[in-house]
Amino acid sequence: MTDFVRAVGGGLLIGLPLLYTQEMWSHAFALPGWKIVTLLAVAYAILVGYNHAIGFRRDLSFREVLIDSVEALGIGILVAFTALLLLGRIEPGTSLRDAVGKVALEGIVISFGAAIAAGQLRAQNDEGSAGDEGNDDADPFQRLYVAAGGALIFALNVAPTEEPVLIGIESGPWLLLGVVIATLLVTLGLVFYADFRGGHTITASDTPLDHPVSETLAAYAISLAVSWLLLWAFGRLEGASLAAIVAMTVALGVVASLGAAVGRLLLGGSEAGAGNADGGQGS
Amino acid sequence: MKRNIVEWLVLGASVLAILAVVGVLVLEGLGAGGPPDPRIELHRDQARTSTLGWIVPATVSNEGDTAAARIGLEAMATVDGQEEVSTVDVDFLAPGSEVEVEIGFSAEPEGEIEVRLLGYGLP
Repeated sequence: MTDFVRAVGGGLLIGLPLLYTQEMWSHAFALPGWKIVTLLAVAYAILVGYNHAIGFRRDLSFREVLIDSVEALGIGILVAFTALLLLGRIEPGTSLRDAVGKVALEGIVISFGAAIAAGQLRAQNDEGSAGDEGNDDADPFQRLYVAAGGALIFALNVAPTEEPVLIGIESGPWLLLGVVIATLLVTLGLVFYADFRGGHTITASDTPLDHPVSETLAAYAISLAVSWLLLWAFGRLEGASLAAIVAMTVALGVVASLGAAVGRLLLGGSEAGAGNADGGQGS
Repeated sequence: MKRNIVEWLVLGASVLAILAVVGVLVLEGLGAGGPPDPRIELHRDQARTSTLGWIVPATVSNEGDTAAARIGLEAMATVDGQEEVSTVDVDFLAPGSEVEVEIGFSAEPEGEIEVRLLGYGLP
């Protein structure tokens, strides 16, 4: 029960900006159904990765992770439906297709909020979960999964609006190249050198991805992929030239990679600084 | 050991993806910076009649090197002996990109549909 309330609260906190975004309502009926289903599927895959890394509960079998992720998605959809009903965005006159679209789109973000709320407050016993045998430090793949989750949440807040399209198309290529470099430097600094509580400490490592530069590059590539996926889902890529697609992806990629950085900071918190990070939040 | 290979693969794919993005930007930056060149192509064979009149789909494309914003287009045709003018706006169009629009007339025009450019904003 506490878990449920937590998940609903976290979901609402993360999802509120998008519940109050007109573009999300209008995209719900403008988007083809299969694109919404694709987004849901990708969101579920990222949720599974996130829950595997942080988890509603620790010591889970993979099957339990799958179930937890369904729960998070279900809570997201339920909360989205209730909230949209209360905000008057779903009324008796709303068509079923429209209502389902709205609930699904908003539900994605809320489900991530639910998973984060549940996951971040659960990190007391930092035993390795069932999947990462023999790797007690932050598993690079888990970190990248969480990066994808952060990227999706942040980018989803911006993707339905026209601004990334405008920024992408109106900026010249040299300016965008500067944006790429700035994004890489900022995310590298944020995660590895800003010394935030829970930031990942640099350790001499033996695996190729477990290094500040390589992780930053991989997380940026994932952020670009998430941005591209969202732009595609919201129909921004139809008829666009390659240069325009790259420009829009880079513009949205700034938001996505910041989200990816924040996600990794949160994960670092549960791995390295679990004791401190949870001290003030236990109730 | 197997793990390391997968990690190298992920890292390699990431670097390739970023290099591809950077490559497109650099090529684009080195390319000529000519003006926008909006064009329109009417698809009269796909025209249809609705309760509010006759609708013809069209493709607006930008064959130039620069993006154009707020592109205004005006279509003129003779319908039942009367000159009809319809306008269509495109918010923004990146170079090499195209967008589908539909233009309405009260009924199917007799002769040719003439389209002219009203103007556009530069980024």
